[in-house]
Amino acid sequence: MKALMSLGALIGVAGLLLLGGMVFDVVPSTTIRLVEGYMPIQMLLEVACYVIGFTGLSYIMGAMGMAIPRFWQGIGFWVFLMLYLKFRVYPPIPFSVRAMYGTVGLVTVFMWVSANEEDWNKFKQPIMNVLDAQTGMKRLLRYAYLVAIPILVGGFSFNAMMPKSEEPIELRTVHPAPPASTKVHGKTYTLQTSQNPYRVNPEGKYDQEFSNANIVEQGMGRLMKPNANPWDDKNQGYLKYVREGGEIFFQNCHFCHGDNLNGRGLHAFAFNPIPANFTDPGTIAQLQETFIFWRVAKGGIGLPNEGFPWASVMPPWEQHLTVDEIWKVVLFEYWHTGYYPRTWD
Amino acid sequence: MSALNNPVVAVIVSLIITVGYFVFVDHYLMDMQGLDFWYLFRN
Amino acid sequence: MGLLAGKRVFSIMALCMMVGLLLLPIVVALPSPAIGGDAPAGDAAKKDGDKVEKGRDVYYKTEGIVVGAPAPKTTDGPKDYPRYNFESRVLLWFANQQHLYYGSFVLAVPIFCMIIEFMGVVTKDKALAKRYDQLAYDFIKISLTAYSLTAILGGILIFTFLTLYPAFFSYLSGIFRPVMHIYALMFVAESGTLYIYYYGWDKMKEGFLKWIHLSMSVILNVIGTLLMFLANSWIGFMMSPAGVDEQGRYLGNIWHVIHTALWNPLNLHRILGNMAFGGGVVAAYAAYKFLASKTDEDRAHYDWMGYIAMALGVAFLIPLPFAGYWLMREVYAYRQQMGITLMGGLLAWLFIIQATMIGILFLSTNYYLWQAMGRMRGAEKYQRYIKYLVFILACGYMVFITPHTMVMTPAELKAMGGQQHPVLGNYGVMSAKNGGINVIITTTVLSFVWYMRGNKVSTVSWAKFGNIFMGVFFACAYFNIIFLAVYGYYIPANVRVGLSVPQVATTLSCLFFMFALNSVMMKGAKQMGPIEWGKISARSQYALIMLATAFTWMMGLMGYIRSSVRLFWHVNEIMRDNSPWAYTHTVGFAANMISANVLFFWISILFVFWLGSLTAKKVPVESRAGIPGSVPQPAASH
Repeated sequence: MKALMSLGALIGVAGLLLLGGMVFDVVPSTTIRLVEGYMPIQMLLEVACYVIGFTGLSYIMGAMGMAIPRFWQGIGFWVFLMLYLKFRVYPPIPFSVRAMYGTVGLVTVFMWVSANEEDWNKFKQPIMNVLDAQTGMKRLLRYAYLVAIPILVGGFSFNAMMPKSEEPIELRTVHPAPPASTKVHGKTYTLQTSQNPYRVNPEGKYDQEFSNANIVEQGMGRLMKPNANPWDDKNQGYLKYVREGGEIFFQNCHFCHGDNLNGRGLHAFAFNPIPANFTDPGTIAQLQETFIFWRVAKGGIGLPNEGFPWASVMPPWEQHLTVDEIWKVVLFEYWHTGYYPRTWD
Repeated sequence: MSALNNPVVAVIVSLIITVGYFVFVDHYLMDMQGLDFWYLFRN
Repeated sequence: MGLLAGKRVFSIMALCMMVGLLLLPIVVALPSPAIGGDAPAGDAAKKDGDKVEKGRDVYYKTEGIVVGAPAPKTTDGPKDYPRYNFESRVLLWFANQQHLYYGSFVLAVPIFCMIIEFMGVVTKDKALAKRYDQLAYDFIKISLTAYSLTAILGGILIFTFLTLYPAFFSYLSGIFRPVMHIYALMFVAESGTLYIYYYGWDKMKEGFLKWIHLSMSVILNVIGTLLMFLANSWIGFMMSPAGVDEQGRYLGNIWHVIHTALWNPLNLHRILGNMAFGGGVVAAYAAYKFLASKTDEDRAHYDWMGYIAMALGVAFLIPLPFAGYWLMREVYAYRQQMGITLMGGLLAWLFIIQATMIGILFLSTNYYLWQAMGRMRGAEKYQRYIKYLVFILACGYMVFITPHTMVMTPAELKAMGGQQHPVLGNYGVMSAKNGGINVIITTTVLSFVWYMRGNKVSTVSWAKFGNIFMGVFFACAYFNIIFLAVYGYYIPANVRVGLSVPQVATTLSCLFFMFALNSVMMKGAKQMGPIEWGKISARSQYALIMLATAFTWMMGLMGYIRSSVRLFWHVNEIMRDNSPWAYTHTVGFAANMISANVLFFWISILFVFWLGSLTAKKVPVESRAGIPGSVPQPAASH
């Protein structure tokens, strides 16, 4: 038991040192990479390791007779959480999310310290001591709080009321509901039922299973399937269309959407918001192929009312591309990112 | 029964039962929807 | 003896009469669709020059003879949208929400009454049975005042409709003409049954009469549920119309109009929601009484009442997300557009708030259970591990509330390099959220199991194996849920959506198997000490109040989401809203409006509670002998 706890304490100390280094900018936060693009269970596991570490640490400290009072344990854990979110996680998390996590953290700490009567008494003892002010030191502290708290509250109010020069926050609807049908080059497409005419198997039939088997390997470093290289001239059918789509993409789209389709193209940072990142599981991966078709064809100007504030500079590509070219580009995007268009059955 | 009260045996038996049960749940409930639970492992 | 037999015959006759009354509206209504069906045929025969016009059902795609008038094309003006100098929609919103709050409260409480009264009847322990009976009586007493208030609010709602939205209301009542009277008649039946049920309580408390009384509560609930189903059919029709042609002309089949695409999912979701809400409100009532009580007896009674109400509420809260999931699936199946507007588009921000509220519900429940362990001896062995449960809960909660597209200032946007955070943004998709909520629910189940075995030590011969098995089962369940959540990122969307089913099954397995196993293990278990009712911290009672408030707020929010998903339609794709208020409110305005509704509801229900306390005769709470050796202790300091 003791050995286990010592190990925990060791983890705790190492973790704290690492975090301290990150806070003071000695250790860059990219030292330990956060894996992008997948379920960030890694972050939760890291925090869990810290918790194990803290458990060990507090056990060892207790055994050495230097137990940390419950009050400071609670506050310390919350401070840790805030520092972790601020300095460990990169790129920086927006304030709104950090505030959310901070609140949850605060609630969590409260639930922890007040879970039973004994702990709760231990936790509030220091507060009570200051309020009761039995000793001179405590009395001094109480007066200090009497002055400091109103000043703090006043400061916060002042800060909140002060006019800011920042642009206001916009709640943008990134994927507004599409219309039921859309008319491109004189032909009407019903979004719910239309299919990509190039997503075909060797027999020329629409076949998502077939195309799914030939896309880029999604999980493992985006490798092409060995027998499915679109740039092999011998290929016909689906893979040939992917190649053609790729050509169109690199002639028209990659300037903004990037050569890795991650929304970080040459011109990307001239725009606010930056162009859509197709490798994100929240964009094309969760949309129907016809949705992409509609967005490409109509561009930012064709967004419905719901797409307020229409923050998109995407041109309506129907003015530059034929219907076939649009379908091929969509095909290529799915092929390259290794995602599948959403289906509803 | 007394063998089961040996912690090691108990853990092993429990593990076999629960893991078997959850694999069964995962597989059949996906199968019922016409989906393949082992998708990633088969590819 | 003769008297008793007479009483018995009389009571059976009374019951039959009530059933007859219940069936009456249906019998009365039966010819009405038939007449409705005949009438146009007669008309057609009369003016034989006219052709019988046929229409095609927008949803069922069946042919039918056009019976009704087309949906009116309204214009903005005093004719179709008369108004005060105020936004009519907000007035309607308020009236509707208050009616719904009270309506669901008075529908839920009789169901609790039924359950508790039944528990009282079947319990062998006399004293405990009496306590249950008293509790059920307390419940129905609260709901009685609320019942009349519901009717009043319903009246206000109808007047608001008639005065502010006459064109729309006359269209809707034209379509639902045959069922509106059934509704009214059933309301009468409901009132009658409720009053007999309440006032007959003391008269019918022994033997056979008690069973009659109990079956009356069943009838009461059947009527109440049917009432709600009918009301649901109206909103179902507004969201997903059926039984009319494209112009909104009624095609003569009332069942099609009622049985729309979303009717059944709405029915299920609302029943469960009402029950959870009712439990929350009663728990808050008990908490309020607990905090205000001056004697240990009162504290013990209200502590117990709060616990029962909370347990019932949570029992219905747990399946609620799954019912909601079904509703969403049906919405997507009905109109993909509607689904996207809800989950990914215009209203997606509200779902983040909803997730926060759901999390708060489960957090408060867990907190209450941990506090409740304070009233038993022997629970200390579990209390030490609560901090790890807190951690697991917090992790699940954080994942559950993380939005995919984050709210941020443009400066932060630049720093982050996109709308989505490359790491945390991944918590925002369904796969992770399902994992989060299932972890939260499983943890709640674990808390319940700990609570139930808090003061007991199993004496069965396989106790050790049982404990280890439970531990392993929970560990594997957590692992399975998290594994499925992570796995979802590696497989295509159409396979991924199916993963939620085994995830849910895992959670439900924990719920059913572990509860069952636990109760088998705890049969005849050694008690470390009694449950000392009333010996609980004040914090726990605030948790109950928090629970109830969160329920109320969430109900308002979800109602708003459901209603505003129609966007600018009165009746989706049939009748357009041409009033100046056909836009969607901002999130901030909606949140303020919901808060105002919640505030009004709680103030008014406090009044109702106060009214209830006026009539309360000072009955000493029956002895607590039902729970062996429970001598009430003064509540611990808080």
